[in-house]
Amino acid sequence: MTKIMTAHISLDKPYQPKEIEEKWYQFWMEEGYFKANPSSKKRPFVIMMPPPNITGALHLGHALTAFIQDVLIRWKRMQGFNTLWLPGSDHAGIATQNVVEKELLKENTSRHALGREKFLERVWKWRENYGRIILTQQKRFGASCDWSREHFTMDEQLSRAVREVFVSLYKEKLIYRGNYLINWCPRCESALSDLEVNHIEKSGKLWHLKYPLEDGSGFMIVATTRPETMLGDTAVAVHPKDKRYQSLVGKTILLPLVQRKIPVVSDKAVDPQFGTGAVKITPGHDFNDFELGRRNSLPMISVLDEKGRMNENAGAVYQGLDRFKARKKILEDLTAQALLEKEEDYTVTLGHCDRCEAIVEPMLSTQWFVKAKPLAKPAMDVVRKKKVKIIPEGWAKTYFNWMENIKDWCISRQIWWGHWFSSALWPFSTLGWPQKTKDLKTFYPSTVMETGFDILFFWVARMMMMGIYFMKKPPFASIYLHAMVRDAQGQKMSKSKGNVIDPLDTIEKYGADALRFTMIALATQGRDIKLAEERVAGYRNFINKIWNATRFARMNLESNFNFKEVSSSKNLSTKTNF
Amino acid sequence: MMFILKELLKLVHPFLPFVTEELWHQLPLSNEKSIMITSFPKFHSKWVNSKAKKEVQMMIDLVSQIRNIRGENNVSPSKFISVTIVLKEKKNGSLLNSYSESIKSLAKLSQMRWQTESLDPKNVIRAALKFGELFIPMTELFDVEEEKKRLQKELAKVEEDMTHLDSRLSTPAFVERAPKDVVQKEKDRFQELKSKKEKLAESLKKMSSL
Ligand SMILES: [Zn+2]
Repeated sequence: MTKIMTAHISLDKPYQPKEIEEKWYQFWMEEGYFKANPSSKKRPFVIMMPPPNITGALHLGHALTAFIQDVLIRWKRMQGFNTLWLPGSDHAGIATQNVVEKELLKENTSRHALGREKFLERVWKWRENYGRIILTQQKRFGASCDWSREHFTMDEQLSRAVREVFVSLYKEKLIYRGNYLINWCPRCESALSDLEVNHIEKSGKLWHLKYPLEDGSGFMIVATTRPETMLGDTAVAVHPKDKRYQSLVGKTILLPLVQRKIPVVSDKAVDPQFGTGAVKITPGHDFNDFELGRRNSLPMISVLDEKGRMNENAGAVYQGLDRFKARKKILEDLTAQALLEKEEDYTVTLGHCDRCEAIVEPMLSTQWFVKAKPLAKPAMDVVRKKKVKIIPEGWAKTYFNWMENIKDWCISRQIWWGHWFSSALWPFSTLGWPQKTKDLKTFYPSTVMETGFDILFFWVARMMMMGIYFMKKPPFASIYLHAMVRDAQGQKMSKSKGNVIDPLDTIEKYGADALRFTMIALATQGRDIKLAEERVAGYRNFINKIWNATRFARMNLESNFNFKEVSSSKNLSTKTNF
Repeated sequence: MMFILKELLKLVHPFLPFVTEELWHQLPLSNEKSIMITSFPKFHSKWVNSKAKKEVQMMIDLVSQIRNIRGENNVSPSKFISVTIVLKEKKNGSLLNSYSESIKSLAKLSQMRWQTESLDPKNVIRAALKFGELFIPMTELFDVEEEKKRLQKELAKVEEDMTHLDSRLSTPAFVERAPKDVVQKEKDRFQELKSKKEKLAESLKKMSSL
């Protein structure tokens, strides 16, 4: 047998992915193989692609998502399902605004200098550019998604769905306006959700301030890491059982610099071990103080404006000063009045804006909120009753924990471009909702929601709440959460570390199939996917072996071999079974 | 073998869509325009059909036996040969019929006959199969006159080698002075050549009687 083969082998060149990939993708598109059919009698298998943000080109994390989903879709398509893989992209409002603003900064101009209309033009230009880049990338990945159903979260159909949802939730009193302490980014000039704030430990200072009692009997010493907020203090609080201060509760403090009278109150939330055991209370700029202020019916004063400057409530001396300049001046003024007891090094945890990294300020603001509890309950029930399966199972516990402690969901954004909600409506708005379309009937709910675990709450949980509320059915039968892509050492890939592997560069070098196979193989091994280029090279060699083996077999076949005879004869079924 | 390759390509298509599509088109596999729209191999337990598996295994055995014999006899890959199979059970005849086209293509056969009556012909190469016995007439495998010439040539060469070796081993100087293992090696080689000579003479005798 060997002799027959070797007689005919001439060694061809190895597999050249580049020549082949474009050709076949084009062919598949032309043949319409990716298109779903809403009238098909076959069982549907539906995946809604997590729409990537248009803030930049796709990275390996996106590639992994595309690979896993494409494997599932191709597999199910070959199994005879009516498959829909719906692609699209997310406008990512504030994030996109920020990248465009960064670009403007390089041109020495700004959003405000350009004005709304010109700025929006720039944003749409960005969207066009990156939308095209992302599309090209997905095609190079081999993604067999139905491009005829592609959506953008800001397109007409989806914006209409957003308006419909807003009005309907408002009518049902699930949306309300309220004064609330929110995370505010003074740079983005926007409210941020809890998830958009990164809490980072930094070395800072703890200042001990002397607050005089009004009756002149002495001082109370309070500690703070943000002295500028003292201008908004409305009380000093102590623990009710703290013997040192029991006689002082009910007395009045004359707040330094502004000479405002504030009470000494007691509250169980005060930690007697922290500092002196007496704490200043600023309900307008601190989350704990906000709650304490509510319990004790304290007034709430905001001393910062939307850009992070001191406002009129801070007093004429400080009004208009940037928060950090005000801090410096206040410390100087307190020192001059001998009211600064001491200064010590201290590690502070500061909230940073996820988008622009500015330090976030808790601020009083009138915002729109969605009442989360009534929406969260059914979203927990369907997981408990296994109507929606979470894979790996371990994440279900995390899901319940988060859902049980869910806070009302601040949905307003002070942005020029974009809206909220849109990504939460993705599983049904993309199918034509609120209209009763054939697509909606056939393809809702999706079969599996496949995404990275990092957006379980950000996105998946919210789709659950909205899907159940508006469609009366959970938006997917199962949730599959995949791992994060890291470098060979297990570190997060980032431009600053210089350890980023670009998916298109890799495809250019080794072919899309090699990258696909590598990442899928790694994705089955736990939480982190540690990717080294050598692995891709290894799988490229493996593909070369398949290539050579098949061509080897072909040469052995001789030219007149024809499978037609076989496929047309009765024994086809036997062979297929095998 | 080809359908295994075909099923394998389908199996890995979701992971390696591009290379499998290209190979699909390079192989004369089926009428389907793209591997993307073929049906995925079914490996669910209820689909693993042991009967089908057995049948396919039988055909693979047959094809590889024929190929082995072709290989051992240096049969040109472009030459079509005819074979006869003696079956233990008649029911396997229809099975052979249903697979006959693919077997003929894969094993390069001009004709494939089967029968249940036993056969004991001379001048054939035989091989045992699980379900019977395979017979290939020697005349199908090679040109008798050519083969005779080839055998004679080879025989002459072996005899020449033996003469050389024999004279060397009869030289006392070599046997005494050369290292012992070298001497042993040459003796072994002589034995090898001797048995080869016997085999060649046997083949040549058979060939002459054809
Ligand atoms: Zn910001």
